[in-house]
Amino acid sequence: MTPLNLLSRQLIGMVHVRALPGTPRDKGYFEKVIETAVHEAVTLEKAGFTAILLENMHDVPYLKTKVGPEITASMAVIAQEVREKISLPMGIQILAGANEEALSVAVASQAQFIRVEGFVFSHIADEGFIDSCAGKLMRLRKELGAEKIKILADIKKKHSSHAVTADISISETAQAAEFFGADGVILTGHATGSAASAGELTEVLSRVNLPVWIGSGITANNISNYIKAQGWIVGSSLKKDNHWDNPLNPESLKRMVSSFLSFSI
Amino acid sequence: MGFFLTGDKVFYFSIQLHPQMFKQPKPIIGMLHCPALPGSPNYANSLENIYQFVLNDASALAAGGVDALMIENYGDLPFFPDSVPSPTVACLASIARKIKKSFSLPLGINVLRNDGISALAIANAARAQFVRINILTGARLTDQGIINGKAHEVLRFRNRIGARTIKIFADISVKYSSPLAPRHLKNEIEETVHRSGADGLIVSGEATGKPVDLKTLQEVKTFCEGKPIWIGSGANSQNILELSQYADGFIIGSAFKPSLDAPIEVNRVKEICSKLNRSAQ
Repeated sequence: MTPLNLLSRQLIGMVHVRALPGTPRDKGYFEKVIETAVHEAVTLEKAGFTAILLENMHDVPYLKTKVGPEITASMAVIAQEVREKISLPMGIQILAGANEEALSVAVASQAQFIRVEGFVFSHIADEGFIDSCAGKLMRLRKELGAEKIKILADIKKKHSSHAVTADISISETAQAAEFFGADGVILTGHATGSAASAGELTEVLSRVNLPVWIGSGITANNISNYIKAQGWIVGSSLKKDNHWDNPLNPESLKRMVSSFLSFSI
Repeated sequence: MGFFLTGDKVFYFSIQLHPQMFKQPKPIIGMLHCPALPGSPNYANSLENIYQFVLNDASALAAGGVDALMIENYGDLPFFPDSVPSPTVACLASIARKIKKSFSLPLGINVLRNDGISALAIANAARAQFVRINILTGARLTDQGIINGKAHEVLRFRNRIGARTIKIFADISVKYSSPLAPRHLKNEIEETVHRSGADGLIVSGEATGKPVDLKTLQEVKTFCEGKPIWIGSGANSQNILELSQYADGFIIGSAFKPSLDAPIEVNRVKEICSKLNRSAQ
């Protein structure tokens, strides 16, 4: 298992886990859900990605900040199966904002990072009002003896209204995340598949000493606009017709990895 | 019915125990007592060691001849009365999956003290076949305080996650507890089976390793509503033959080891399993 080096550039491939048991889109074939996730993770590793991130993307509509044990247990089993088949650093995200459960799954499956929504301040997501989780989450990480699991925190995250923090800039948000102990911050556009702002990237980089990752809208064509970032989380653009709901498209994987390699080495 | 009467003698039928799950009559379920998991007060800071400990115990149980395995968060003292936190769920799911992939035996989950919902969630994720629930219905005074049965939630949850094939083995008058208002055993059993959906009944003594009261066992067998009866504590090489006259199966942990924290010893497993195989033939 390769450790996650936040100082080196990372191309992180999303594994959008199919609908889990008990969720509205669940089709009742959990073994198939495991197989598909493992297959996608292995495909991403072979294509040349440097890390993967498992996310329960198909569990729509998402619960707000707490999921049941059926999601925690299912993600733990999937993460473990993936862990056994790949050697890349692995991250966990459990939607929406179920960060304690994500940390638990990361501990159980020896994953290296979690992606955290709602780390600092508040916003209104499509699931409703999300409040800062940093205080409780960082205490849990300590309690579990899991300080080595990195926290990558979304700031002013996609799919959300940030009117309640309209007087706080993106870089001030990043500074708050740094102050509260995040290991890195993630910039996004307004939705899955939509691009972040290159101007915001420059602004945030000038104000914090943390790695900054881009968390939405990255394509083989625009990745070079974010050349100063330390990581790029890619999902939708790897899929057929650039839609997250579709299977991986081998051509898109190749194009993405070669764009990444063209400036990262 | 589990019995019939001729004159002053009572004869007991042996009930066929979920034949799709257990190959042998009078199956023995070997307990896998997990050391303290992350977040528990006694956690020793190495999940790898825990995984290894449990896998070693499972190997000893399988080599000694048990018919099934059951994982329990036995080291997580003091126990939560109801829902356990997510680290416990995630770690038990990982352990259960590792065991399930390494051993072909049927697998059960017990999440102490009474988290039947998490047990079902873990069993479903790890593809295990049964759960043990200490207090499925009614209310009891336990060392964790008053615990209410949640059959209404447990059975709905099992349906929602598509896990109806996972069997529920429910304790009757479970160890480490007292009834809040004593009731006739017959009523308690009827409610556990007919109104709360138990697929099997478990009888235990007053504590881990303590033998069951033979009279209680006979009574449970008499009223068992056609459901299999498991011995849930205190079965050992001395009493297993006698108990097997009434019980349909055994859940054994302490008798397989010299002390509760020690690893399972394969010779102890063999000794007990061989007694039962002889009687079964």
